[in-house]
Amino acid sequence: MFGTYEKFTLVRAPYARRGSVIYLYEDFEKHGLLRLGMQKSGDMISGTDFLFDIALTKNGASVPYTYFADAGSLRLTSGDAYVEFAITDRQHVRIRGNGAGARLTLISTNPPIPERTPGFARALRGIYSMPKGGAEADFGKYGRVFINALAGAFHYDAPYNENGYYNSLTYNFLPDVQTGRFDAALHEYDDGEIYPYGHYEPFDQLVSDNRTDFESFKRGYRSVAKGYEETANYAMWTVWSHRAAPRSFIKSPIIFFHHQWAVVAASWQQSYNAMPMQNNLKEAWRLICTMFEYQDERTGRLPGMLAYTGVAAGLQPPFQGFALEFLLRNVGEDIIPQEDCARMFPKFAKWVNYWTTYRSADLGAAAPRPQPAVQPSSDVTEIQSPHEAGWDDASNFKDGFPASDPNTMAFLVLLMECTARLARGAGLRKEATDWMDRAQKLTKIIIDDYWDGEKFVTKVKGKPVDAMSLACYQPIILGKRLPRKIINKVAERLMAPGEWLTEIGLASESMRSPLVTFGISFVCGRVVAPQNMIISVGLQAAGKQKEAEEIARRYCDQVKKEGIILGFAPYDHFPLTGEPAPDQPRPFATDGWPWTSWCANSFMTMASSVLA
Amino acid sequence: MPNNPSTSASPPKLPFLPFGRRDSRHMLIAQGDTLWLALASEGAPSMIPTAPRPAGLFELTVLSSGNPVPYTYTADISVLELKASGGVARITHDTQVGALRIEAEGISLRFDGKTSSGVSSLNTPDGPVVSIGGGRYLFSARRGTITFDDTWVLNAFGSVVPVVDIAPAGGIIELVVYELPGDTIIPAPTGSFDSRAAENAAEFSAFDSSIVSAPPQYSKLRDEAVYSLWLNSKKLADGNHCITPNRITSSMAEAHRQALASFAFRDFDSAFELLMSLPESSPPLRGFAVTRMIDDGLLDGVELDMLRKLYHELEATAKWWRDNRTMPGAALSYYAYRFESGHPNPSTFTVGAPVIAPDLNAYLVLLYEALSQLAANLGDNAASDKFALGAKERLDAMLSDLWDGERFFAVNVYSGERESAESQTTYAPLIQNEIPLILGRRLPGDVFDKLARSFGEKLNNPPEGAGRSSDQTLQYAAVLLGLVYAEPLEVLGKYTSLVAGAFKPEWMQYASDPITGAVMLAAVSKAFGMGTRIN
Repeated sequence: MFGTYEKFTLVRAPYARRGSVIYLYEDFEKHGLLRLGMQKSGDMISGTDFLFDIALTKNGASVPYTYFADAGSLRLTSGDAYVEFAITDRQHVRIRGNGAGARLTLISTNPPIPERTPGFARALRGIYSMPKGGAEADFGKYGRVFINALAGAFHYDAPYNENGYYNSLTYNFLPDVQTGRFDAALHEYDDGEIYPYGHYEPFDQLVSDNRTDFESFKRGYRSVAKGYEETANYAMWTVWSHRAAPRSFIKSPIIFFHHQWAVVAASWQQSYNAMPMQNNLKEAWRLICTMFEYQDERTGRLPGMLAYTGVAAGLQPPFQGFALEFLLRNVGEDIIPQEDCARMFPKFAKWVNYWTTYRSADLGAAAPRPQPAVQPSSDVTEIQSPHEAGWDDASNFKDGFPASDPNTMAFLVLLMECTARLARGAGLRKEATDWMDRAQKLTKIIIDDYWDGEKFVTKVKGKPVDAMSLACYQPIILGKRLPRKIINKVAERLMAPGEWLTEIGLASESMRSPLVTFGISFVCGRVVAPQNMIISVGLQAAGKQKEAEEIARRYCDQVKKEGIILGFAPYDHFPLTGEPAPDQPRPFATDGWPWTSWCANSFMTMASSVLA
Repeated sequence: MPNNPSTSASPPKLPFLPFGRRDSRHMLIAQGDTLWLALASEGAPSMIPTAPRPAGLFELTVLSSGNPVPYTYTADISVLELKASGGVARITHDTQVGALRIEAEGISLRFDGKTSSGVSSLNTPDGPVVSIGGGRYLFSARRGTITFDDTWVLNAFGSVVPVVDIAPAGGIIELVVYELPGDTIIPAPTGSFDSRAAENAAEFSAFDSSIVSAPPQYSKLRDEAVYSLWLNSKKLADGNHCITPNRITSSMAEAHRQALASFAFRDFDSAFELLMSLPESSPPLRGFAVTRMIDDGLLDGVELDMLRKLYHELEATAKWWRDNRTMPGAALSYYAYRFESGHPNPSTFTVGAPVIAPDLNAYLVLLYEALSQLAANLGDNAASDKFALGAKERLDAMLSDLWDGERFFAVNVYSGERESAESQTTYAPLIQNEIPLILGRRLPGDVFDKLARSFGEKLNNPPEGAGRSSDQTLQYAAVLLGLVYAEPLEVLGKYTSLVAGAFKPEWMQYASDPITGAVMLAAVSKAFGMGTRIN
């Protein structure tokens, strides 16, 4: 899959495995240098103290290597000699070598601290050889690492200076003199017992098991359109490798956004991940429900993001209805067992009511003062920041907040309908009818009050925002609930040349807009995976299959060419002015750099369900 | 701008310590001539990790006719008063509603966020809401008019620099600065400014009375230590409190430091709350803390359930050290990591890790002794005898394996290498090997005598020892604390250099560090027989 001579390297894509916090990647500057890191702390790769340079050694000296990785393992090769890493889902990594040794050297990407000079090993708080063999090191917030040498020799070097700080840390794995081989396990864990410890399967068995696990995971997806099979493999691998095991604050498996950059599991992205998993509906449904495990009992709010270190602030769009409605439309209505309907109905209802209470336009939602005794006269909402709509720098929010946003309300409509479905599934007929009534009323409001004849408009203090954002067409997700003339107009506008449609998909801002930027930006010009997925799925639902396919194909072709990246600049210049666009970013947390599960799931939905 | 910090009794020590309050995140920090509004650090996770710092800094400016004017300020325990030409402002905490109450007359006020990085602002009918640096403020004017720009800057992913201007109405400002999570019903402030201020003063007074006394010559030490403990006291999710090292920049706290801080409290409930607030960490100081509770009679009359809980916690600690840091069949335990000693670079680790260290085993002797006493109080004589024997065997092993007739030394577990006298000299500022002095009368007389003289010499001739840093001062003070609990002052008095060296003026600069201050205060209190128990 990945490698020195493969289509994609590990410069942008981290190498990881389902259920592990360890990742490996290739350094951007020092080509050919692999590193090992850990995402548990939430550190970005540009500011972490826990990274190890990986050297392949012969007779103790570092030698150049090439590498190849698939789901089973990552192998570094130098001539006939190799060193191989296989990650488990049991908090350890196996490392073996044949004809070569390996050296792992701790580094930091944070600025130096003078009194800790040279400071590369600043994460290290201590290391010692354990009574039963092996060495345990403490890395503070990164937890502990235990190295267990199973074959060959292992030693570490950790000198410290007069100030009590370690100058460096190197782990050295040396092949056995007679066999030429070494084998070791690197365990990572928090305070407490090493888990597991004492039993290791044969290395080849682990590699085989990893591949089997990935193959099993892939069976949860439907096949993709012809020509996208290889890209789909990369996409599914990206999701699989970002799937975290329960640990610390994380109660059940969840899919992280990034390993190296934005190291969080974003709330609404869990439902994105559910959408293409149409051959494993149990898992898809679980993913839609997973954030409800953290639902605030008082308000009904779902957290914005989760990390190993806790629940982060923020609020993300009520996307679950869109995802569930899509699944139901694609696979049939009876996928949710009655007991699940009964269990989830009140949670969904509470989540909707969170929005219509705490973001109610009628109650002055801008103020944090819900009045439980007062019922809003409508379900019109106002959001308080662009993140609540999902689009951080979309131009329809240029007039500020609170903003009444038809996109968020369209998500709410679908969530209300799904709440009605759950009520019906639980045998609650009246509740089902009531929820459908609310959905229909809100739909009518969106059509009557937020469609200006050309686009959907966001309003601030009742005044439409003059914007050229792709988000102005996102309520197409309401599909055939919208009048035909609106559907036609949306399709017409989106497919018109020179505005949103580019060779690589829909741009997030019209190319005729003076606000377009391709720099450090998310949705103010770039062609971005989730927007292309949402719009194409929406057009499909509205009966515009041809247009949906056209958009999806353009985006998927770009991913096929460039990799599982969230956002692409469609041009090297700004079409409005002809001025050259800034260079594409170097390694950074922008959406134009790293491989991410958010692109992977959006690609999979388009490639398996939108494209014929 | 002239700066005029208060010098009244028990004051917030602006500018060295913020004006703050237990159970409130609100603080006012003095930097140069300027006051800054801030929230104590909470360290919540975010998509983009940030360095530890106070949340939401706002520079406080006084305006007259729209222009900044100089001001001076004074503070007592409950009210910060700010004076400028033409007017005055007063600030106090209102913990009932999670707010700061501000009253002003004749002047306007400005809170300037100074940065727009990552700030999200919103004008609401109740006032501006500003989410900044992990804090969420609501500025609500009960009297006065607020001007605030919440313009969203599209490509900055945030709002413009938040600047909250409050102009008086009829010459008066009444402002409530809330720190509230989202989706919260805004609680209306009740009671007058003065009633809240009086309540704050009363609560501080109650807190103050839970702290040990000090002789008059140490009243300044006591004032600063008590205020620092008050300020840095953080409420945990379970309602209990712990002491953070510095609430401005860090929400982190360590269990072994809670044990040390507990010495400054003279009632069982307060000391117990601190002692149990966090999971035990290394070094294991709970036993040390409980033996002093026994010495001071704090356990007398305590309910059996509480004693049982204390016993089980200490028993778990003893088990952990036995299972994880003691070689099979060995009497003595070891540190695996240097930081487990509580110091980043102890001399004991010159022989490499893991290391059987005298200080650790001294702590464990006290832990076993505390367990023995608690078991006896609970009526479990068999357990009491078992732990008493454990304490004795450990002390015997220390004296036979770690004492060379002149000094204690550390030993590498695997190689058996002994820590050399030279390395102890090299690391002269450190006193790991004098820490067994906390065993006091449990040590043979000659051992105590030699250790005490060695400690006294280091105390009086520290090239860069106590007084160099808060942490090193804490180490010295903790040993002294152990000593004064172990022996009466008149006995210690024969070690003239020891007593003379104690509580030097340069130590006092660390009185405002909550843990160091607490330990120094507890030591002088005990040394001068001020008594600790509340009857």
